[in-house]
Amino acid sequence: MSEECFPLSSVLPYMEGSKIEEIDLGYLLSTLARPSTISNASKTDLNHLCARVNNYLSSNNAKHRWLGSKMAIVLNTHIEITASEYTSKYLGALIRVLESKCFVKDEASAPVYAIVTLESCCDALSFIINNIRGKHALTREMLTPKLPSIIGSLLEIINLVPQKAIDLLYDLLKNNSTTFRPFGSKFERALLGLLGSDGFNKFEQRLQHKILKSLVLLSFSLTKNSTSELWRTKFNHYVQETKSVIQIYSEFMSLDEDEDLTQQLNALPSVPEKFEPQFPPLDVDLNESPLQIMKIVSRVDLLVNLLIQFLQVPTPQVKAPVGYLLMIGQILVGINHKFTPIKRDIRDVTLRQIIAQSATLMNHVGLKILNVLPNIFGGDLLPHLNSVLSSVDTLIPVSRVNGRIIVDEVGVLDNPELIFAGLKTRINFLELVEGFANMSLLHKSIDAALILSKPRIPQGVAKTSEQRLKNVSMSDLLSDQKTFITEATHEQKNVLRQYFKVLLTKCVLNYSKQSEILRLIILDAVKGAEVKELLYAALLYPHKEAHASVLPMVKQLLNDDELVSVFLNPRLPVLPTKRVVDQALMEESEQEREEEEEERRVKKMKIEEMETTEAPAEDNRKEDMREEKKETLEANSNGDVSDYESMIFKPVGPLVENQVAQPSVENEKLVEAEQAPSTQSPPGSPSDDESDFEIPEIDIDDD
Amino acid sequence: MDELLFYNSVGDPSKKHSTSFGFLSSIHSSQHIGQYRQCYSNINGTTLTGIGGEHKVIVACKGKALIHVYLHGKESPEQTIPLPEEVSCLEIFPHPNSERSWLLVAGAVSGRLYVWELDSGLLLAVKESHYQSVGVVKCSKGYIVSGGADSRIVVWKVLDILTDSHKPYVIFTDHTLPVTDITISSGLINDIKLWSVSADQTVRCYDLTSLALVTTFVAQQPIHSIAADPAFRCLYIGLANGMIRMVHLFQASPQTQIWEQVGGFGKIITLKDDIDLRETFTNHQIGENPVTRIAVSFDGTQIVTGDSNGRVLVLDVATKQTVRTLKQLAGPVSTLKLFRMEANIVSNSALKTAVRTIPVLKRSLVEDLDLQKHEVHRKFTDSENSRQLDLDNFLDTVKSEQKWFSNFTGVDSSVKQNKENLGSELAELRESYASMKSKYDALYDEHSKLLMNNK
Repeated sequence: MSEECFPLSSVLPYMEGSKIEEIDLGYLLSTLARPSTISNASKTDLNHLCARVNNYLSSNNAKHRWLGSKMAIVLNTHIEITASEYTSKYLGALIRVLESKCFVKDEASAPVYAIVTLESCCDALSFIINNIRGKHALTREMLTPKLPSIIGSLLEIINLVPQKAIDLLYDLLKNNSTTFRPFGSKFERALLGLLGSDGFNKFEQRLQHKILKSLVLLSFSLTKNSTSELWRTKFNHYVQETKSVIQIYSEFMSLDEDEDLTQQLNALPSVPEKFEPQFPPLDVDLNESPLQIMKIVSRVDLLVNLLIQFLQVPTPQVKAPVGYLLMIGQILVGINHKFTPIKRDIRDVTLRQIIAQSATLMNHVGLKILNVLPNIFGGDLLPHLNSVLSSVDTLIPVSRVNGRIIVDEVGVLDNPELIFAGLKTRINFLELVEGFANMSLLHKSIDAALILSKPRIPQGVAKTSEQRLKNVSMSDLLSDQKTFITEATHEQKNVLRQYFKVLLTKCVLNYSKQSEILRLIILDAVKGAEVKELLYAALLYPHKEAHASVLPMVKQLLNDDELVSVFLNPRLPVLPTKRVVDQALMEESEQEREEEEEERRVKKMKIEEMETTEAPAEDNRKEDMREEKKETLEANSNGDVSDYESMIFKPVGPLVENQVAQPSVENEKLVEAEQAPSTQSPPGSPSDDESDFEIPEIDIDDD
Repeated sequence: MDELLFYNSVGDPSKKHSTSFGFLSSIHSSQHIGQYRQCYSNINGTTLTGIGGEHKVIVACKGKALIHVYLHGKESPEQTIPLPEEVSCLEIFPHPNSERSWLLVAGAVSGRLYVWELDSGLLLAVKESHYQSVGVVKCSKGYIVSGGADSRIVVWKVLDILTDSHKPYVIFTDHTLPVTDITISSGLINDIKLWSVSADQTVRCYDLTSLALVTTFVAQQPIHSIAADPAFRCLYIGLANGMIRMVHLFQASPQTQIWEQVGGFGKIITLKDDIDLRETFTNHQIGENPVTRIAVSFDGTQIVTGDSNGRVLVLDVATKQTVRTLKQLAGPVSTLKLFRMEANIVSNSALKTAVRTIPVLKRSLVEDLDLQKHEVHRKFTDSENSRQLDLDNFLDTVKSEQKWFSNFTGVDSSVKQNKENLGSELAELRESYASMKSKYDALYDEHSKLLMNNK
C-alpha cells in the first residue's frame, strides 16, 4: 500500500452513530471520493464502510439518513462499490426513506430538515440510477427489480419535494417507459394536481417547465404502438384548445378587422363541436372584475408552454406542423387594440384599458413561441421569414408626422420590454439568413433599437409630478440631473448589441443606418463597454459604400487584439511545397524550424544508422541554395520594406475604379494583395502574367 | 481519426447496372466499410447527408427519373422516389448554423433547378435555370450556384428562391462551352469566390460580392473537374487527357520576391506546359481517360482522383505518387466525397431505431395551403444531459444543507441530563419521601386510633 493513500480504517470507528460529528464531513466525503482510498482499502474495511453507510441510511435519525445519502453518492462514484451488492441495499434503504416521507406528519408544514433529507435522497437515487444506466447486467440485476418501488415512492412525495421528484420521475419516464406504464395515470393525476393548484404560477420557471414537460411526455410515450401518431393527435388537440381560448378574444375585440389575423385563425385546425378540452373551461366574468381577463392570458400562456414542450421532449420521428406553431405565434403577436379595436359596446374605460393591456401580454406569449422555434427548426422556418418579421414589426408603435410614418419614441420608451422581446425574436430569425436584403421589414426596429440604446433624462417630471404627488423637493432634479438618467439594463444592452451584430453581419444595411450603428458601437466602446464582437463585425463586414475604414479606431480600441493584428499584418496562405520568403521575420522562424528538422533528421539517422553518401551531399546543396536565397533577400529587404509599405498605404490607382479612394478594411486586403503586380511591373507588360510561372522554385521536399 | 471516401460511378447500362456499385472505404487504410448496389448516377449526381447512423446516401439514377436512398450499412436501396424528370446533379444545403441537411437541390436534364426541403419533402421551388442540362450544383453561405451545358453559371440566393423571386442573383456567361464543375469558397460572405471549369479549357474565378470575373486561367485541354486545397492555396484541375494540373493561387513575384495573389483584375493567365511535371499529376494518363472527379484530403497533402475508366487513386501532393489504388468502378467515376470520422464510429449494421427513410419528395410545387401547415418530419431530442459529480459543488451543497441540522444560535433548548446530579437528587427525594412517609404513617395511626376510640 502506498503511503499517499488514505487509510480507511482510521475513519471507520467514527462512522458509527453520532460519533461522525467529531470529524469534518467535507474532509470525510472528499477522502471517500478519492479513487485511491477505495482501491487500496482491504476487503474487510470496504465491507465495513459500506455496511456503516447502509446503517446510516436505515437509521431513524433524520440527520443520519441525510448523511447516509451523501455518503452513498460519494461511494457510488467508484465502480467497485456500484458493482457490489451494496448498491441494491442502498437503493432499498433510499426507497424506504422516501416511503416513510421522513416521518413528516403534516405535509402542509413539513420541517426543513425533512425536506432537505428527502431531496438529498432523491439526489442519491438519481445519481445511482444514472450510474447504473447503460450497464446491462447491473441494470438487469439491481435497477429493474427496484424500479416499480422507486417510482411508487417518488409519487408519494411529489407534493413534498416536487422539483427533485419530478426531475427523477421524468428521467425514469424517458428511459424506462415500459416499467412506468402502470404508474402513468397516477403520475398524470399528480401533475395535473400541481398544475391545477393556484400555486402553479408561483412555482419557479424551471419547475413549471418540468411539470409541463413530464405531462407532455406522459401523454404519448406510454403507448405500446404508434407513438408518433399519438404525439400528433395530442399536439393537434392542444393546438385546437389554444385556438378555442384565443377565440374568446373575439368577444371583446373585433378580430375580424385584421384580415391576416382572421385568415390565420381560420387556417388553424377547426375546433370540433364536441371538443373536450384537457383543462377545465375558463370562468371569466368581466362584470365581476376586469382583471379576470388575465385568466385567459395565463391559460394561453400555459397552452403555449405545453406546445413548446412538445418540441423539447424525446420523440420518435414525428410530423410537426411548424406552420401552426408559427401561426399561433403570429396571431398572438397580432392581437393589438390598434388593428383589432376593442368592441364599442364595451364602454367601461378601466375594462378597455385592461383589455388593451392584456393584449400586450398576449403579444409577449406570441413572441415567446416564435422565439424558441428558430433554434429547433432552423432553415425550415425561412419560407415564413417575411411574414414573421412583418408581424413582429407591427409591435413597434408608430406615429405619422407630416405624412411620414416614424417610430413613436414615447411609445417605444413606454413599453421597452415588448420591444426587447421583439428584438430577440428578430435576432433568432435573422441568425438563420445570409445577406438579408428586405430591409423595409427591419427599419422600424432599427430606429426603435437606436432610441432604446440612448440614455434618457426624465422629461417633464418637474412639470407634471407636482400635480400628481406631493414632492418634498424637486431641486434634486435640477442640481443632480445625472443621477436621474436612466439607461437600458445590462441584459437589455446585450440584446441591443446582439441585434446590431446580426444587422451588421447578416443584413444588407443602407449606408446611413450602418454608420449610425457603427457610431453607436464605437462610442460605446470608447466608454469602455465590452463590445469586442461588435467591433469585429464592424471590421469584417464593411459597407460597400463606406468612405472611411473603421480599422484605425478598432485598432485603438482593441490594442492587443489578435484578429486586429492579422488585419494590420496581412498574410497569405503558404503553400506546402514552396519556400519563398518575403519577410525577415518569416525567414527567422523558418530557419528555426529548419534547424529543428535538421536535428530531428540527424537523430533519426543516428538511430537508424543509415548514413549514405548521397544524402548529406544533397543536404549541403540545398543548404547552399537556401543561403544564396537568404542573401539576395537580405540585400533586397531594406528597399523592399519601404516599397511594401508604399504599396499598402498608397491611394488606390485607376485599376480599382469601382473601389473608393480610401478603401474600407475589406478592400484594403484585396488591394494589398492584388495591387502588387500592377505597381511592380510596367503596366500592360505582356510577360507579366507568364512571369508568375518562371520563378526558380526551390523545392525542399523532393527527398 | 480516419477519412472515409464515398465513391460511385456512372455505371454500366449494358449490364443493367448489376455491376454498378458505390463504395465507402477509408483512404488511409485498407478498411472497406460498405458497398451500395445499383448505385449509379450522372457525374455530380450523388450526395450524402453524412456518414453513419441515420445518414443517407441520395443517388439520382442516370437515365431514369428516380432517386435511390441508401442507409449506411445496407446494400440495396432503402427507398426509391420517383421524380418529375431525370436529375443530372444533386447537392445538399445544410441548415443554417448546423450540420443537419436542409435543402436538396437538384439540377435536371431539362435545365430546371428543383429545391426540396428534406425535412418535409415539399418541393419549395422549381426554377428555369439553364437552357440545357445542368451539370453541377454547389451551395455555400446562402448561395446556390449551378453550371450547365449551356455554358452559363447561374447564382441564386437561397432567400430569393424561398420567397418566390424569379430573378437569379447573377448569371455569368463567360464560358463558351459546357461548364463541367464548380468549386466555391466559404467563410465571410464578402469574401466568397467561385471557380468554374469548362470544356472550353478555362478556369474562371468570380467574386460573388462584386460579381466580377477576377481571374481566368487557360489550360491546354478541356477541363472536367476541379477541387481546391482546403485553405485555397491552390486548385487541382482534372483534364481531358488524364492529367491533373495544380494551379497555384499565390506566387512570389520574380522581381520583388514578395508573396502575392495570382491573377486578379480580370487577368487572363495561360497555364504553360509543365515539362518538368512539377505541377502535374500523370497517374491517370495511361489510356488518356479524362479525370472526372477530384477531392482533397483533410490536411491537403493528398488528393483522391477518379477517371472515366472507373479508376480511383489516392495521390500524394508533394511527391505526385500514387499512394493507394481503390476498387475500380464500372464506368466514369461520378462522385468522390470525403468525410472525416472518429475511428470505429461507422458500424456495418444500421441502428434498429434509426429513421430509415427520408420524406417522399413531392412532385408538384408547394402551395400556400401546404405551407400553412408545413409538416416537418423531425425526431426531437431532450437537450438535458446527465451530469457528472462535481465534487466541489457537491461539497458546497452538503455544507449548505448541513446548516439545517446544526444549531448556530448558541442557545441550547434541549434538556440536559446529568447522571451524578440525578443520583443525588434521587437520594434527596428518597430521604424526603421516607420522612414524609413516616410522618404520614404516624398521622394515619393517630387518626385510626382516634376513629376507633370514637366508635
